Amino acid sequence: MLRLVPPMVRSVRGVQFLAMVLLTLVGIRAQAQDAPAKSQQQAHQFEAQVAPILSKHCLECHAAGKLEGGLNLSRKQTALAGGDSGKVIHAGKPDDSLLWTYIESDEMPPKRPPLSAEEKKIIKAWIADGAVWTREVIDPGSHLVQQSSEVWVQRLTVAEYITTVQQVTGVNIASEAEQLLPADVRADGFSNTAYSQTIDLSHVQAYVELAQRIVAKMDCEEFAGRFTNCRSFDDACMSELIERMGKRVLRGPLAPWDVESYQQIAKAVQKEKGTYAEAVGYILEGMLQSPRFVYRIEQPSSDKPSQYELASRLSYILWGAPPSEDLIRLADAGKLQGAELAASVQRMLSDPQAKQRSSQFVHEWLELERLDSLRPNAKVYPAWSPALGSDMREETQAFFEEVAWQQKRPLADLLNAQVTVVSPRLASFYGLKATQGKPLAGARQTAGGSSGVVAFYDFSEAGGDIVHDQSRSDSSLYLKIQSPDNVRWTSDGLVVHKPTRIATTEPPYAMLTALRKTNQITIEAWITPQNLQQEGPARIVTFSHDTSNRNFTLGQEKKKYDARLRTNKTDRNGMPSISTKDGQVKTERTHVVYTKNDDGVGRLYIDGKLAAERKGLGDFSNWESEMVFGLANEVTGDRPWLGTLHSVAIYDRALSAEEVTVQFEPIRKYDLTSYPERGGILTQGSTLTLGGDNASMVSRGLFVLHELLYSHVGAPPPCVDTSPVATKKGLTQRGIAMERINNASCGGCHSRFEPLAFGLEKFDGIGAFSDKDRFGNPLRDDGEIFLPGDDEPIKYDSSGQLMEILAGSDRVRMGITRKLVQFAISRPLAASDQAMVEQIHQQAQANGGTYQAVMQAIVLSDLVQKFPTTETTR
Amino acid sequence: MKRTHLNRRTLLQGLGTVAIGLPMLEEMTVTPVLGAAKAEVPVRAFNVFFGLGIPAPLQNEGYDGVLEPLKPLRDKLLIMRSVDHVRCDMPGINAHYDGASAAFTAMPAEGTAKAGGPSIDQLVRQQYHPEGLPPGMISTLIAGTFFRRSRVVRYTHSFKDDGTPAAAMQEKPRDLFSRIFGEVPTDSLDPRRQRLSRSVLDSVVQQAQHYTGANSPLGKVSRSRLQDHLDRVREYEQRTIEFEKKAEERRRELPVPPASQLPHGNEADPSGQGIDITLEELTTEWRLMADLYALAIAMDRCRFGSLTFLAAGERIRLTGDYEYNGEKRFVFDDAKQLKASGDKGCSHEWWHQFNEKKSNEQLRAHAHMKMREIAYFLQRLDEQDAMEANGKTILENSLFTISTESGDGRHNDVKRELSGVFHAVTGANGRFKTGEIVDVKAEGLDAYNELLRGMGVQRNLGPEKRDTKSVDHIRA
Repeated sequence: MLRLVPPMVRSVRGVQFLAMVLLTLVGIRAQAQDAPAKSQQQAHQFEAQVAPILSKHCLECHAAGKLEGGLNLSRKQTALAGGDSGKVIHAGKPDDSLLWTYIESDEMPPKRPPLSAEEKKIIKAWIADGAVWTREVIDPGSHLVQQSSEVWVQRLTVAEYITTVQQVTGVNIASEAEQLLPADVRADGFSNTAYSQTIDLSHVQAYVELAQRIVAKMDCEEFAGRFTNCRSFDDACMSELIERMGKRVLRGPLAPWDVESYQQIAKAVQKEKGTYAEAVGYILEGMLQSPRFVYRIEQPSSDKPSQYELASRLSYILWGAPPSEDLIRLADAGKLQGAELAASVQRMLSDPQAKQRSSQFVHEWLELERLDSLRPNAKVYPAWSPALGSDMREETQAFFEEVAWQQKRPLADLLNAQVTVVSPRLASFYGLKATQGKPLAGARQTAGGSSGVVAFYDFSEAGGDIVHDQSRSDSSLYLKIQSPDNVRWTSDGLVVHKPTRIATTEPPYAMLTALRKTNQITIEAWITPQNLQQEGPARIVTFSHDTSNRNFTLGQEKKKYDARLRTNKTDRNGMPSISTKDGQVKTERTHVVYTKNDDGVGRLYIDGKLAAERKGLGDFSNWESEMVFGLANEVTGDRPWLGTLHSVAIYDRALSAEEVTVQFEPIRKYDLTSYPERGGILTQGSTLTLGGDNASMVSRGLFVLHELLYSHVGAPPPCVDTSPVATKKGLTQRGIAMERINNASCGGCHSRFEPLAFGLEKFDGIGAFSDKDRFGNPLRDDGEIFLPGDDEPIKYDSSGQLMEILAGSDRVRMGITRKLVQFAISRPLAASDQAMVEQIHQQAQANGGTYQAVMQAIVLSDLVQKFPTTETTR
Repeated sequence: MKRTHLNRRTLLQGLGTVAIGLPMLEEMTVTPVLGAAKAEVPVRAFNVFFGLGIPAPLQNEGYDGVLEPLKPLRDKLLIMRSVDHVRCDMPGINAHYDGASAAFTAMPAEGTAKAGGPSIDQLVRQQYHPEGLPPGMISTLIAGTFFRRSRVVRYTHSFKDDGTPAAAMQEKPRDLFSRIFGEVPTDSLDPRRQRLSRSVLDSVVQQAQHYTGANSPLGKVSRSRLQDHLDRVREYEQRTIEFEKKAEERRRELPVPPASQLPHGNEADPSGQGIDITLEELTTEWRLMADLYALAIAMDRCRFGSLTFLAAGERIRLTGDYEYNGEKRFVFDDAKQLKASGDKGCSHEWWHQFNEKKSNEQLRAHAHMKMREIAYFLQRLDEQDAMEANGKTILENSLFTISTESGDGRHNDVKRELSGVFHAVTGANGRFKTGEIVDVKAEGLDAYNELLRGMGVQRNLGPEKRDTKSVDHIRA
C-alpha cells in the first residue's frame, strides 16, 4: 500500500492534519511569494558586498589578461568552472571551496593585505548561502573604489552663482564673485561635487558683500515693477511682491513663513523711514543670501521632485543656470512630464547655454586649468610659453564644440575625429600649414593672447558704467565711463557713439611700475573706427595728463594711425610720434599694435603687417607717475574717438613681428586627414602634457585607464624599485616601459595601462611630434592593448589605429557616459548606480551617442526624475 | 588667576615691523576674552601634519638623528614608533594619499576630498562642546603651508564625522589672520545701514534654522551642511557686533600681514610637476603661519584644528643653505642633486630612493629641516609667556598629535610604507606620558582611540564593531 501520509502524521487527528496541510500550503505560497524577495536580496548581497570584495582583493590576478592559476573570477561562467586546481567554489560548502580556504588562511591575496574579518565573514556566508552569482561580469571599474551614495545638498558653484545672478537680476557680478568667493575645490574629478562644497566664513562674508554689490547695481524699483504694480509698504502689496519676486529669485514658490520673514525686512526699512525701492533692495539682499538661493534645496514629499525642483534640476544640469521663466511657467502648469517634458529637454539642449555647460564639463573632465600653471623645463622645452598652454586649452574646447555641437557626432569620436581647431601659434607648433586651415566661422580674435599682459579689457560686461581690467586681481585699472548714455554695450564690444571719458579714477601705479621696469611696451587693440574724419589725434588708448603731456597714446588722425611714446629721447608729449601712411584706417574691424623694444625701436602693425617704424627711442625714466589711463578720449575729454572697442591689451614687453602675426591670424579649423598622427583629444597638447617633462607613459596610460576606461590598478607590489629611469642613447620611454612590463612583479599591472600610451611615444612632454627622441633614438607608435573586460588583446600599428580602437570601444563610450552622469548629479558614482547608468548608456547609444543624446537620457532617467529610494542616502 | 600672555613680540617677529605696527601689538595683548581667561585650563586638540614622513629606521635613531630638532622639547613629547595604518591601504590609490588620509582618522578615505571619518580633534571638540564653542570662537581652525593639492586629504587634517573637512583651509598669512581676527566690513560704518543689514541677516538665520531644525526636509548630511552654514552666519554676525563695538580709529589702524609671496592655487601645483622654491621663501611664510596659528591658540580664538607643513607627497625643488643651531648642515639643491627636472627633480624622490643601507643624506636633511620647523611651531606655545593657570605651558596642557603620511616612502610595499608611521603627542595636561620614546606596536586606530579615551572622549574612531586593543602604556 502506498503510504501517502507520513507515519507521524497518521497519528495526528483529522482536524489537526487538515490544519497542518492548510498551513503548509499557506507556507508554500508565502515561500513562493518570498522567492523573488530572496532572489533580490541575494542579488543585492552579491553586488553590494561580494563583488566589491572580489574586485578589491582578487581580480588583480584573476581576471582577463592575467589568469593566475588559470582562474578568472571576473566572469560568472569561468569563476564557477574554476581554474587549474579545479572548482574553487562549492555552493553551500565553504570549507570545500578553495576560494574560501585560501582567503581564510590569508594565503590569498599574496603580497597584499589580507581580507578583513568582516570581509571574510561575507565571503564565507555567501558561499554557505549558495554562492549565488547574479552578474555575468564583475567590472572592477564599478566596484574598486567604494563611494558612498549619500546625496548632499548642492551649493551653487562660483560659475553657477555668477550665471544665476546674471539671469535673475541682470547684473554681471563675475569679476567680483571670482575675487570674493573661495574657489570651488575639485573632488573626484569635478569641482561641483556636492560633498566637497563645504561652507566657510569667507563664503558667508562673500555672499553678504556680493548681495550688497548686486543690489547697488540694480534699479530696484524697476525690478520690482516686473512682479507687481503695487508699490507701497502695505502688507498685502509687500506680500505680493515678495511672493512673486521670491518665486523668481528662489526658483519656486515661497512658503508663508518665508514671506513673513522677508516682510520683517520691509518693516525694518519702513521703521527707518526708508523708501520702497530701498525695501526692495534689502529684501533682495536677504533673498540673495538665503540658503534657498545659495543651495539647490529640495524638499522630498514623494518619490519624485516637485515640478519646480525638477525645473531646477533640468536647468542646472543642462545649462548650469537657474530655470528660465518659461520653465517655471511649465512647472506652474505641471507640464514637466511625459511628452511635454521630453520636448522641453529638446528645447533646452538647443539653447546656447547648453553648449556653454558642455564646455564647463570638458574643462573639468580633462582638468584644462592645469594648462594655465604648467611650467615645463625651459631648457628641455624652449618652445613652451603660457600662451601656447592657453592655446592648447582652447583647442580642446573648440574641438569638443566642433564634434559635439557643429557636427553632432557620437562622443566617442572625440577620440579619433580627424579635425581640430587651433590658433596660428599652436598650428605652427603642431606643424600644420595655415593654408590648409579654414578660418573658423564666427571665431573672434581678441587682444591679450600672449604673455606679459599688464592691462586687458574685453568689454564683456554687457552693461554698467565700469570697464573691468581682466588681467589683475585689484581694481587699479578699472575704467569709469563718465557718460554711460554715450556708449552701447554689445556682445562684440563697447560702441562709443558719442564722446565720453572712459578712464581710471586714479593713476594706475602698478602698470606704471611694471612698464618702467622693462622699458618695453606693446599696445594691442581690436577696434572698428566709426569714421575717417576724427583727428587730434583722436585718442584710442592713452596714458596721459592732458593734450600735451603723456606717457603714451595710440590714436587716429583721419586716415592714419599715430602712436606717441614718451622716452628720455622724446619730448613730454611723446613727439616725434610714429604714424602710418594715409589709407590704413578703415571703418571695419582692425588689429592695431604698437611695440617698443629694448633696442629703442618703435613699430606700428596694422592687421598683422608692419606699417611704420621709428628707431632711436629711449627708456621710460622720464615717465610721470600721476597720469591717468583711458580709452576713446584724452583724459581731459577733448580728443574723443568714436567707434567700437572690441578688446585692448597693454603688455610689459614688445611682441615680436611673428607674435603680432599670430595675434592677428584667425583661429582655423584643420582637416587632419593629411596629418595622421593627430586627431582626437589624446593627440592634443592639453592631454599630452599630462605626462610631464618625461612624457611619462605611466601617467598617460593611467589617464586613459582612469578617465576613459574607468578602471584602476593596484599600487606597486613589494620589493620593486620604483625610482624613475631616464631615457638615454639606446633606451626610449617605450624601452623602459617594456622592462617594467616584462618584469614578473610589475608586468601584471603595467601591461594593462602602459600599452595604452605606446601609440603616443612620438609626442614629447609638451605634445610636439617627432620620429626620434632627443638622444636620436627612433620612436614607435605601434602596440597591443588590453581593454578592460576583453579576453584578448588588440594590436595596432599606429597612433591613428589606437585611436580608432578606442573610439570603437563600448568601454570608452561608457566611460564618457559615466563622466557626464557624474557631472550631472554632482557626485561620484556608487556601485548601486551601475544599473541605472547602463540604462542611460543604452538609451543614449540607441539615439546616436551624441552629447545631446546622453544628456537627454540622463535628465529623463530616474537619477534625475526621482529621489533616491532610501531616506538614509539623503 | 594667571593671565594667558604669550610673548607676542616674539610671535610677531614674522609679521614684523613691516606690516604690523604698535596698534597690532596692542590688539594682540588684550587679555583673552574667552576661555583662556578663566582659571581652568581649556581642553584643546590639534593635529600637526608634515609631508613625506620619516622612514621607520631613522626613527630608531631617536634624537640623535633627524629628530634632533625635537630634542629641546623631548620632556613635553611622547614619541610613538611602530604605529601602523595598513588598514588604510586602498587598492589603486597612491600610498601618499592612503597615508595622509590615515593620519589622525585611522580610516581609509572615501573620495578625493573626503576622509573616511572624523579626526581626533573633532571627536574631542564634540565631547567638550556638543552645542558648539562660545560665540566668537572659531569652531575649527585649519591652516598650512603646502603646495601639492590634487586631493584635499593631502593637506587638510581635521575632519567631521562625515569625513568632510571641518573647516576651510587657510593657506595665506593674510587669510589666516583674517580668519582669526576678522575681516573688517567695508560699509558698516553707517548705523542705519548696520541696523538694516542686521534685519537682512535675521532673515538669513531664520531660513537656515528652518533647514536645520527638527522639521527640516533635508537628510542627515545635507542638514549638517546647512548647520555649518548657520554656524558661519552666526559667527559673521558675532564678528560684525564685535567690529561695531570698536572705535572707528582702531578699525582704521588694524593692520594685516604682508601678502603671501608663495604660489597658491593651481600655480602651486603645476600639474603635479613641482615648483622651485628656496628654503628662505618656504620657512619665512611657514613661520608666519605658525606664529599666527600659535597666536590664535594663545588668544583662545581656537581650540581645535590642524596645521600642515608641506603636503603629503609634496613636490618642491628646494634650494638653499640649511643651518641648524648656527651650524651649516647641508645645501639643498634637489634638481641638481637628482639630475632631473619636473617632478623627477623634486625632494619627494629622496623618499622613493630611501635605502636603509645607505646614508640617505638628502632625505635626512629634508626630514631634519621639517622637524626644525615643526619644533618652531611647538616652541611658540612653550615659552614662558605661554604659561597657563596651572603653571604649565599651552603646549603641555593641550593635545598636539604630530604625524605624517608614511613610515617608508618607497612605494613598493604598502605594508611597510604604512607601518611605522611617525607619531608624537604632547601630554595634554598630564593625561599622557612624555619624555619617552615608546614602541607602540599597534594599529593607528587603537593608538588614536587610546588618546581619545585618555581625553575623556566616549566615542571611538573606526568601525563600531571592532575588538579594540588597549595601548594604555602611552597613558600617564
